[in-house]
Amino acid sequence: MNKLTKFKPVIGLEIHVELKTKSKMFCQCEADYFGKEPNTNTCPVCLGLPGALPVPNRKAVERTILIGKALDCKINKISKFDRKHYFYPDLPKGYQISQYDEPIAVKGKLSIFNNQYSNQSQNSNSEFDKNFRITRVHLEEDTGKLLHVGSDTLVDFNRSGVPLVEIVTEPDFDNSDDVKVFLEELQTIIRYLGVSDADMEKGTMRIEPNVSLIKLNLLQLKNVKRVPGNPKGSVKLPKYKVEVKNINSFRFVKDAIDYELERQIALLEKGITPKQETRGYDPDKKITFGQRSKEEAHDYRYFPEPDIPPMTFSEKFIAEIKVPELPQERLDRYINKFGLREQDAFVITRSLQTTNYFETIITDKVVQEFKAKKKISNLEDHVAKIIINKKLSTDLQVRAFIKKTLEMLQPKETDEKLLNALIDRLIEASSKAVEDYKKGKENAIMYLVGQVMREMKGKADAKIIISKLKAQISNPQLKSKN
Amino acid sequence: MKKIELTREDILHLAKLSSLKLTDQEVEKYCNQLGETVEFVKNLKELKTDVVIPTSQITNLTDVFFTDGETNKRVLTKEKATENAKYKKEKYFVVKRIM
Ligand SMILES: [Zn+2]
Repeated sequence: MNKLTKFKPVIGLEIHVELKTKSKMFCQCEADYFGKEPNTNTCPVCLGLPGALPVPNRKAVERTILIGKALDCKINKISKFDRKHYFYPDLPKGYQISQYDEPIAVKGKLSIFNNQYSNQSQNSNSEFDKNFRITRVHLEEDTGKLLHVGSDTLVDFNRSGVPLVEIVTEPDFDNSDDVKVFLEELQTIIRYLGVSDADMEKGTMRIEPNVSLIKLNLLQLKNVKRVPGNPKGSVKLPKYKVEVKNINSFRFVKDAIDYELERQIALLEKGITPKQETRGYDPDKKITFGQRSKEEAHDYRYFPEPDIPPMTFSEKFIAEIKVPELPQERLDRYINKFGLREQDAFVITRSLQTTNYFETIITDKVVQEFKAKKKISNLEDHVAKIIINKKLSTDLQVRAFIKKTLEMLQPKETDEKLLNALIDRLIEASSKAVEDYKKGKENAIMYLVGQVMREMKGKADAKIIISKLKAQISNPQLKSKN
Repeated sequence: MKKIELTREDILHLAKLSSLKLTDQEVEKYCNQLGETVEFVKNLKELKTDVVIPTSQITNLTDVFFTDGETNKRVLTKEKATENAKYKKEKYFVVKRIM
């Protein structure tokens, strides 16, 4: 942390998300390539055979617009595809159909709430909500898969042409914690939109952070501190940046960034500018390493894809693509409408499966009627706690979950006669506990409560038991018996 | 015809981008030939283009899409897919190890 007072980290992100459509991006081959025999899911288009004509998948375009809208982007009225050229065996045409100067969406933002800062005194007065600018959201095609065996590289084109959305942020991050929280939020949003599994391990979500540091004097440091996106606080970007590839978990993204910052600071302190390069990440050694750079990597020779006419989006078309309730809105609703604690609302809303299950339970007609009849105003909070504390599994069928929940929430009806008799008997039998209690050992009464509860098989209200016990112990009739 | 002189480096760069292996003689040859070709293309400059809007599209079409999940009429069998490959192993295309 001390070292960072001299150098300010400048971190941006490139995020790829594979869309879950039925067909590929430019042909009718299946987009689901998982577990298929190699090269059984291809056609002349996705194999890049000469003369094959790519046609864009409308659903993929709509879903990219949806992601753009969810990230507060401006949707371009006119958008087109471009060819990005490079040679690599996973790319059969020698170019990737991507988007260059007219992407589908631009200039968005995503806010995160990183409560780690609530512990840091330097930020105690500032807002914890942070905005990070989204540069662009564009659509392209995925490449084939390579398998390196012995002296061969094997190529499988089943994944070639699967719709891939690229989300690029401005270099607004200055620490790896914010990056991790941002990515978790983004992943949750993507899942709420239902456009992708966004699974890091399966590779349907991929992250490439770019990391560099800028040297600042103290005055500049003050001005730029934690105001991402504020032009007044911005300084000239570093002359180099290091991209880290092949990271398959958010934890590793954080570790890779932390390692890079340390590595680069060590160089900068010796007066060396780190090399502009792409590095890989080794999660076992927790280090990044230089990779042989793709030759001519920066001579992509972008030009408009002549085989695909431009796309035009009317106001109406864009308006009809509706963004559903997003995790942050849902969290606010749970807090404001149902009185859930923030951390509970957070846990429930993190997983789409959990939050949808919760919604199904609380909106169920039987549950609603029960709530009204028994006047349980905080029923939703009870249900949330049952889910969070795993008192019932969300793997249960909805009807079974509801039945058990209602049993748990049923106000306890106490058999008064039975209870009174039991209490009298217990007080007689447990003179030691009674004496202890009289001597001021408050805890002693809990022993008695436990005994009563056991005898009543839980069918009694603990509060009633305590008050009855206390009353009976201090009952003079009883005293005289002793 | 006057011609543009292309350097050896220009030709080697283009060869690399085109994934072509050229012999020394060929590099020499293309220095001349390609220069002539580029010079010929320059004839286009004689055309009056100041009122023509630049385009990358000549069909005047827009918004050509297909519907997700449409029947795939062009899918290739695995035998067909790798049929013309020079090197293959089982169902894979094979290239010399790259990493
Ligand atoms: Zn295909």
